[in-house]
Amino acid sequence: MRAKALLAMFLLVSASFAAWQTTAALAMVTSLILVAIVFMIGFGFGVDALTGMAKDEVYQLIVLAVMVAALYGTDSFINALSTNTELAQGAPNLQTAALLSLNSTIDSLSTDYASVRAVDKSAGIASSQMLSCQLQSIGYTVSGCGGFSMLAGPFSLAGTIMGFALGELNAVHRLIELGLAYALTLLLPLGIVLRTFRFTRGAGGFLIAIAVSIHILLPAGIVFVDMLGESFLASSDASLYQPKDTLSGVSASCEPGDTGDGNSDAAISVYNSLRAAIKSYMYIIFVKATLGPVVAVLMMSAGIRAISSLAGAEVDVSALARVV
Amino acid sequence: MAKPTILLAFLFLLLPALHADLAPPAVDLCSADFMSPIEVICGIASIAAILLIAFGYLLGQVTSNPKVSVWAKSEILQVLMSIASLFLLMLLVSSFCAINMSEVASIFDIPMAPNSAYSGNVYSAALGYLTNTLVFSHDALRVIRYHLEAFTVLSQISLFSCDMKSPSIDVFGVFSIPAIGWGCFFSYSGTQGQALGAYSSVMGALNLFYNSTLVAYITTLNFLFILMFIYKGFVLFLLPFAIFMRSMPYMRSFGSLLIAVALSFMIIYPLMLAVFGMMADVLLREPPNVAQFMNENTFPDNTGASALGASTAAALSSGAAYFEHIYFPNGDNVAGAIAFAAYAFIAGVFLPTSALLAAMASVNYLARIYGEDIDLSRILQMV
Repeated sequence: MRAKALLAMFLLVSASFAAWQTTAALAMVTSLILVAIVFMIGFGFGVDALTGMAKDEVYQLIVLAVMVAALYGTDSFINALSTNTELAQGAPNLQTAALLSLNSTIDSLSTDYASVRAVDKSAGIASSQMLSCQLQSIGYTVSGCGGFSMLAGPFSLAGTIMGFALGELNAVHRLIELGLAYALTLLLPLGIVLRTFRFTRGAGGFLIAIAVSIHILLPAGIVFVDMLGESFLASSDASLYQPKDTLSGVSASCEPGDTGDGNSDAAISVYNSLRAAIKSYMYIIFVKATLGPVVAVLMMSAGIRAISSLAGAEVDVSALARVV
Repeated sequence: MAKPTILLAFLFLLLPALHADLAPPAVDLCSADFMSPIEVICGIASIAAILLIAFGYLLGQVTSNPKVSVWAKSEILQVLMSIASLFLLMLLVSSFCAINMSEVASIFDIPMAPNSAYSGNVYSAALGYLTNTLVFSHDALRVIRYHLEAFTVLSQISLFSCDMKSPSIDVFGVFSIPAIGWGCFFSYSGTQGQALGAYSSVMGALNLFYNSTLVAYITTLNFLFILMFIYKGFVLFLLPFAIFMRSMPYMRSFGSLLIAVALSFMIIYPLMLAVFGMMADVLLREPPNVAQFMNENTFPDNTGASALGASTAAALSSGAAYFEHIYFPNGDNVAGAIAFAAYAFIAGVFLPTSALLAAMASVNYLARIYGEDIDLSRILQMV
């Protein structure tokens, strides 16, 4: 009697949902039929292992039905969380808020990078200059601008760090775009459908974990770091770290024939400008463009591990965490 | 005594089956011929395993050793499980060959052109995803390479400015010689240097992303190779071998692992890739204004010179900026190249690695179904 009631309940599931939920319910019913066949074979031939497996599968189907219902309810919760005004910071939802933040950081970082490149170019031209003076192949060559060559290393390092940060921002931006477009419409429902069948349960649990992590945890990481950063910037200790493009007016110039202190003073002046400017770039480069994506990706990979484990698939995400 | 004799006769009757002719694997996974050799080989492996078990049972009966007889009975169930796995695999492969991913996409309201690379069956869609990701990664490489080449060439352009206004020379602070100002009229006097700088800040970043994109490209190629290897008869070796090994004493966990690997890599890995292919609209979207840098036939560092070696008027009038304009008529796009590299990394490394991880998770799960707990953490470290 109880089995009949259970069967009826599963058959009614399909009527309760729409769109992907129908597919999930259909998958569950199919799985139930397969489980019934396995149970019948086991019962008919007296194979306890098969009947035991069938019973275990029924239990898994019940867990899955609860999970579908929970996710159906969680869908509204996720939407409410995503559109929470505190988290979304004026944007329609959490994901858009994270994308807007990333766009703004990419713009700021690109501007800063352009300024660094401009100073690097002028310093590069200055450092390469040599003066030659010859008469009938007799003469001399003076490299009075050699002092500027000390700037090549710092500029290369600065460019590498800024480029890396720009790459990180773009990678996270693309992942959030994917989450916004496909997490709830494709990955989550497909994960539920796959989790229904025993042989695809691992993959299904993994897809569910990816969907929730990319849709919620990844943008949340960006927004949380933004919130912390803004609180820091509002404090009195942060006056030196307010983001400013302080290198935009700096340029290197050299007089190659000048063998006095003028050129080395000019090179040191550019170096000092760079040193003084570092603090005004730190917030954008290290907090918004490096720490934000790193925290977001860590939250996502930890989320994938926890949720996939919850969904019955033990996935070693250390390979994904290495992406950080 | 009659029972062992009948069994012995049965064993001899099965022996000719071991000499069955094995056909080479078909190329197309979804063709009717693909599974036939697998079925034949698995059948032979099953028969060999049954022969061995029957022989064990016979030995148990002859020597009146109940341990051997019980072992033989339990092994028969395991062989049946292995054969059931084969039928399951055949069922799933034929289902995957029949499923059209564009119809799956329509269930989830995802727009997909019916003739796109991702719209065929699961196996061709997975292949389409990796092939297009490979092209995408290669495009990213081309854009970065173009910038690297351009900046390398531009940084090598040197400029000699004839000394027409050299500074005055101070002689011991007593008097100064005014600027000579004769420059190249009498000899070679002037200032030499890089006309456009060394591009240190750009070269560092571009080299970093060139390497990362190369990694993405090679990783995608590696995943594509794994997929092709699976399509060209991966199960042909694993499944029969697994069916036989599961019946060998002390080798059950190895046999279970092989069956789990065969099932996971034939089912889960292509399925995950095909699902990622459904996201290609967003996943493989290029950053703006990068297409102009994909021209690999443009080597314009000598286009300013005529056949006689004389510079064109444009080159003469524009100087070093002329070359900069040839490479970047609308300006460079370093930020776009870096973004392209980042997107290639997500499409070519992050998601295919996820597919492999899902397949590995599935191996673990399936092996548990077969009653074995296999630790794959060491293998995963290779990813």
